[in-house]
Amino acid sequence: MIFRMTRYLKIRMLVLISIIAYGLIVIGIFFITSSIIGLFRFPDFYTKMHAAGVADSFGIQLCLLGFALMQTSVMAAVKIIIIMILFFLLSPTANHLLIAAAHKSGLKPYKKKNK
Amino acid sequence: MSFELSSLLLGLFGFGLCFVTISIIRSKSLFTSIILLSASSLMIMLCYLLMDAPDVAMTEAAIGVCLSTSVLLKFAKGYRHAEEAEQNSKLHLIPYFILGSIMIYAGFDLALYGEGAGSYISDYFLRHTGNEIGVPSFVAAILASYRGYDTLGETTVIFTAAMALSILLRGFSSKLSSQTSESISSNADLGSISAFRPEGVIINKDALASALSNSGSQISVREAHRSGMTPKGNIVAEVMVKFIAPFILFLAVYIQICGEISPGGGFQAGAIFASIAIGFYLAFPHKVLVNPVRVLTIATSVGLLIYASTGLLTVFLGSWYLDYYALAPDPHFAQKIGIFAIELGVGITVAAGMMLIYFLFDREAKGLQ
Repeated sequence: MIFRMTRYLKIRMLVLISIIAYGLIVIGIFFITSSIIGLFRFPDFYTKMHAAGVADSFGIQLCLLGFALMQTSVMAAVKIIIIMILFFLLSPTANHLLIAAAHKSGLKPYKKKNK
Repeated sequence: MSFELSSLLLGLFGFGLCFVTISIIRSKSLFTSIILLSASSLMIMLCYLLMDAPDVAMTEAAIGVCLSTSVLLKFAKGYRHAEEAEQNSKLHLIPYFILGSIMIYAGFDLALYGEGAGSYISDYFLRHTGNEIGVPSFVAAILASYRGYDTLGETTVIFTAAMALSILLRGFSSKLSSQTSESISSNADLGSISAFRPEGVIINKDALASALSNSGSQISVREAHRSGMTPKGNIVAEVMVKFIAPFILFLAVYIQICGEISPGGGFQAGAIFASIAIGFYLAFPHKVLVNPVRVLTIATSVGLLIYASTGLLTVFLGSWYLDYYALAPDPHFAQKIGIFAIELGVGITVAAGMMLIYFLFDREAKGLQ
């Protein structure tokens, strides 16, 4: 199908894919930045783990999707998609295990002190 | 001075390495220093990647970042609250200053990155690897064929470390279990419990078996162990480990076999195999799993035996030690056979050695034989 496209259509499609890829990477960087800010601002271990989980489980996926769209060869894009699936499966698991371990050790959540 | 992203990132991660190392020195608790050790391994791994050394980066990632951190975290529990005593006099810092200045002075002699000291040797390797060995990966060719004897020494180092730990921890474990069983054997109510430790309750299997047979119940020791005396596992960990285990095993075998073509080899494959095997034991703490220390001791020795026997085989076939050309008539095929055989030995030794270190500590923590 791509061979039958005119050159005009091909360039338009490449530009569109590039725009989508850059947009995805920018949104991913925004999520990672918000996660880093949250790591510093949140008061407690549990809330900090939530902030760290945002970057690990979502921000990196978007960036990787953007990188996959920017690749020239299909095999490289497929490899990046596989890495994205692995990250999507494994990093929320690690997040959950850390929080479960903290809960089992008896770490109390943050309670706002009433004035 | 040209601007390259890789040298900028290299400087950044090098600075991060210095920062993390200073934080390790200044940290007050053992727990913090273990996590920071993992972070320093991460920094140096990124530096290796940026310096175009993916083999070393893979090994550092598997062993430094993941394996050693998880082993240390699991077994450093009892010392979590230990803190350093404050030192008033700083006299003990003088040897460190002397040693540090000697190392910095020696560091000025090292070649710059990219202009190797033995550049005529690397020239020879780059030119003649295709003719003489016929393997696409230069690193595998140098590691396994040109410098095969040094790799035998490296494998012996791993073997020796595992064996030394085995000797050290076996004596401690037997002394501990005999002491505790003597001290608590007189207590009729707590007859089956050997010790109370921060990790949980440790069970003396013989006393438990005798108590069960005395009370006349038909449950075996294994079922009693399962029924409620050990902590339950996490469902997320169980499901994910069961799902991802075949892929990681496949990855380990792939890296082992394709060590000649792409970055990989025996060390990386052994570390990845050991990490998924230990992952199983970490994810299922409530199931009674056999502690395979005996099998692993034999396996560690078998790996080194395979490596050394390949060399002896070439001697028997008429050539010198570890000369792969004697193994087959076609020179490239002979080199591939030799490299495959010794990488197999390295992989078995590293996998069994890493697992042995974990299971020795595990056996000592549980107090069982």
